[in-house]
Amino acid sequence: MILENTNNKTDNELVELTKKDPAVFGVLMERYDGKLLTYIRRISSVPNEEAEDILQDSFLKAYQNLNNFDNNLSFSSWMYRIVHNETVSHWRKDKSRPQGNIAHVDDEFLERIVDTQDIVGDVDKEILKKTLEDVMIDMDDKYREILILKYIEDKSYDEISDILKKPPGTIATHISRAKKQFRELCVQKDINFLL
Amino acid sequence: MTDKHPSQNAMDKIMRGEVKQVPRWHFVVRNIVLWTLGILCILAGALTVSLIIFTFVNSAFAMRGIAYKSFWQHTIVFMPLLWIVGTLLFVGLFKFSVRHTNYGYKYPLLSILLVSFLSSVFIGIAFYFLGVSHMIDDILEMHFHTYHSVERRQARLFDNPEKGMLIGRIIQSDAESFMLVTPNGEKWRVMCEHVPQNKQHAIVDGSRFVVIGKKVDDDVFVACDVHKRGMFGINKGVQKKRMQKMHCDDSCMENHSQVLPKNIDILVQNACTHAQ
Repeated sequence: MILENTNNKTDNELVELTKKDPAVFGVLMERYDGKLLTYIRRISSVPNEEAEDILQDSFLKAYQNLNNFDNNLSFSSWMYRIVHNETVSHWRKDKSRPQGNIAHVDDEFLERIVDTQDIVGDVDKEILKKTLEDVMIDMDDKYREILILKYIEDKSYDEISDILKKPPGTIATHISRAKKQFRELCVQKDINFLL
Repeated sequence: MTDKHPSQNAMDKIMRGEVKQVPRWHFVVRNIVLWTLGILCILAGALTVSLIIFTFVNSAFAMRGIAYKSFWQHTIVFMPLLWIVGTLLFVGLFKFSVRHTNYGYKYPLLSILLVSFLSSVFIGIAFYFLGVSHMIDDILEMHFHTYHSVERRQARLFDNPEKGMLIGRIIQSDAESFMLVTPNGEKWRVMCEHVPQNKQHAIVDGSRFVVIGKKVDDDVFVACDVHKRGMFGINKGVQKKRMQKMHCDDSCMENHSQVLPKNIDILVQNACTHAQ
């Protein structure tokens, strides 16, 4: 019964319904699994199977801790936070295993970074993608993730603050430093900017 | 990992009951524990701050010139290193507990540290004036043999009869002498004829003094000068207990009188000439 008409419900309403009927959680997972899977791949550069494992663990963790979800927070930010934490702990666990540095720059990533960072985009797409992958590899982990959240995932300062559990002021500082580092690395790799 | 999508796998586990929601009370208790820990850290920090104030105020730096130890020795004796480390520890613990509450991450680190430190300082000042630090100082000395109370540390600087210095509280006095009890519990009969006239009136029962002069017998001392040295931030209960412990009645005074050396008058006359 509860599962009917769930499409027009907000995330927070679905969270409340899940507490009564676990099946409703499936609707929430469907809403986010695509976005979150891409996010995991962007911040961790793990292979797809591992990213799926991380996502599954994140969903289970979210379900377990649903009673700790605060309605003042957006479910999206909460879910991103859990995924971020799971990715970091996965990365720590497997730190000893050599994976090589791979950055995942997909088409959407490319388009958004070209738009938001005023990169001259009329060069070969594949070459630009490869160069941006190198830039992302060279960036500090904390700056890479914050840049992805801000410019690729299109999150606001407050949302990033909720996801990374850092004060908004610190987020603003990190974004500014991340942009600076990104631009410097781009210049080193001959990527041109409009301005 | 099966061929299914991660959300389907997760759903299967949830529906099979392999994963259950953690009850709400668990998170409520966790939050209560974190906030309680935060409050306890502030209070513990306030106690350490009050002990720092108590130690510094009673460190007798003003009388450093007459102590027989150097400036550095004086500083080391009174440096409340334990309480400084304690304060920093509790400020850090407060930050830890606040940061782990639901919205703790929203506050900048500096604000959390400042709130913790300033709260500890303000409550610590109140604790000092209420005599809490004196009480803790006393309790610690009673229960830990390695701990030396501020009073005892003062004794380390000023209690050395062989070098012509005593510190203690007057428990009984008359025109020519008074009975002084040191922080170590030793009782001295102090002859005070040579004490400058303007300081004589301050020699009353219960006062605390540093006495400069000369030891003329096992428990007899001739005072050439006295410096009033009261304790600050005292706790009346602790004070009363100490006074009761030191209590000396008339018979005690008489017993001490009986052991005065026969040539006491000559000793008194010569004592201050040598001391000067």
